[in-house]
Amino acid sequence: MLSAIAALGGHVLKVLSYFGEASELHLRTLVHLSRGDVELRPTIEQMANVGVSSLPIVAVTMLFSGMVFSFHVADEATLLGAAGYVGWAVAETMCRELGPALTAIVVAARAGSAMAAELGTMKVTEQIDALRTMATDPVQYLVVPRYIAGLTTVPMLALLADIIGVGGGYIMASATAGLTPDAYFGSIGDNLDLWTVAAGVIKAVFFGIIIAVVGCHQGLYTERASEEVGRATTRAVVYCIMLIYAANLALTVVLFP
Amino acid sequence: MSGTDKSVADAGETAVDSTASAPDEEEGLRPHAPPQAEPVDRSGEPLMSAQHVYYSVDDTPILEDISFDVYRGEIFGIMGMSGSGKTTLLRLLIGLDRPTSGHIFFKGEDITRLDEDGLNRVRRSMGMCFQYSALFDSMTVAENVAFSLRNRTDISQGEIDRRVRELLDVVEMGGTEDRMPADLSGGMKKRVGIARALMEEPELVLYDEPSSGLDPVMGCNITALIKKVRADTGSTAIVVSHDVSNMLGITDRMLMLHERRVQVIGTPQELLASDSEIVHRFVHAVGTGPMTEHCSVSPQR
Repeated sequence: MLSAIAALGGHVLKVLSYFGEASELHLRTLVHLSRGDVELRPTIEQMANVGVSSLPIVAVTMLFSGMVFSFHVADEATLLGAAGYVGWAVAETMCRELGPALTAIVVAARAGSAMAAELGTMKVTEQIDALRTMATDPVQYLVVPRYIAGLTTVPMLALLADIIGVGGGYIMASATAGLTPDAYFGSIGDNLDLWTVAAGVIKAVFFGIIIAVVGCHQGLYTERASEEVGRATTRAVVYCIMLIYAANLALTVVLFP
Repeated sequence: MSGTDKSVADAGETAVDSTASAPDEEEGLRPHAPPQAEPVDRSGEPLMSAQHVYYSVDDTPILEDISFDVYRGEIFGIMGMSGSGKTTLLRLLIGLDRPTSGHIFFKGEDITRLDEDGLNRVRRSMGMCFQYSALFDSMTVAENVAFSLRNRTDISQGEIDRRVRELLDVVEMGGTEDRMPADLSGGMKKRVGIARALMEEPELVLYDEPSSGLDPVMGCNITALIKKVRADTGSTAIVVSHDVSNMLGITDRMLMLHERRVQVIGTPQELLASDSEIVHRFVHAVGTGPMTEHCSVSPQR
């Protein structure tokens, strides 16, 4: 019994320790940002890595997600005589939930894991120590560019994801329910609130921060062994997905009261 | 006598007679030519000084009561068996890790009390060459060497490029500016690492196992380069290695770590003449004796 309690206590301590380290990393990043300690070239490189390079997979994911969702909605809506609301239903769902959440998960899998692997390899090969010996703060040089990249590109990707998802929805709605462009897009213009779109983008800002902080933390705190890089990469993706879903719930409650 | 000498004596190290003669030729190990023409002045304040430094990880002691002084212009060697804490000690000296207790002074300033900003200020006077070079693999050779100047100074790109070319020539790596670290051999990486460490003209250069993983010829070339760097720049060097022959050839004084403590400090001649069995066995690579608890080979009975 005592050993079980001790084991539970150990896990609780690990979780608290993790959040403590990640919070400290986030705070140090914000301090550098507030001082304007931003390296332009690595920041642009990271924005390309996180944003531009993730666009194709985000586009494919959202196109098919929009099509599948529209297939289900169009079928049921036609039976209920509400085919005129299919476009709005797809757009509302994309902007509120699927756009930001699926984009964040795709970026976490692609760019969050890359951040952990890259920084983890640098840690194992003493490149992080080399930075420190050259009086360069690894947080300023490595984390800040990735943080800015996550903060700016994930919301942009989410907005594009909304559009692509809605477009995919139209393809399926017109094919299965015979909806015209006017009927599909007209229902969106009539019913979709601008706040719904904005709230989805706000969610994506937080998701971008989560991806950058978790990915960088896992990389910087990798232990000095090659196999640890792989483990850190896996942990980065798992923790990102868990935290994105948890944050999604909290943000949904706050943004859509 | 400095505090360093006292602590070593307290630790029960083997006393080393500074007037002791070098060993016989047939022993096969003799210091090479003197590392520099001008003798090192040890009367003033040391450039770097460790005072009663202890370091533990998770309550496991790694280093205990380490004390020594390094003077300006000196090449100071730290040697010991694998796992004796040489690299850990080097990391403490440049502030990558903090000692559990004790003090490390650089130009009279206790760096163990500095925050990261203070350490960064001190590190601008130091350069470090890592065991596996630690070159940034996403950057070219030139970008690696230029990194510190490009990132932290307002020096023009033209001046940085000129200095990069100059340093690459010093380490005999001219013409490799556009190559990536992955395209270089181990010895070439070490040379680029040395050039990178010298970019800001440091007063103190720390070398971690500069000849490890290299063939004997390349190992000698690297150690010759360390001597050349000192002769050209007048910088002080601390060299960590277990390569006894190369260490004897380039250092002015050496420290030997054994079982977490300083076993002995002295000139290469003094170490060669030492009557300590541990020092004798290490310097002359004798496979049996009191150090065998660290050896993978069973002691002869």
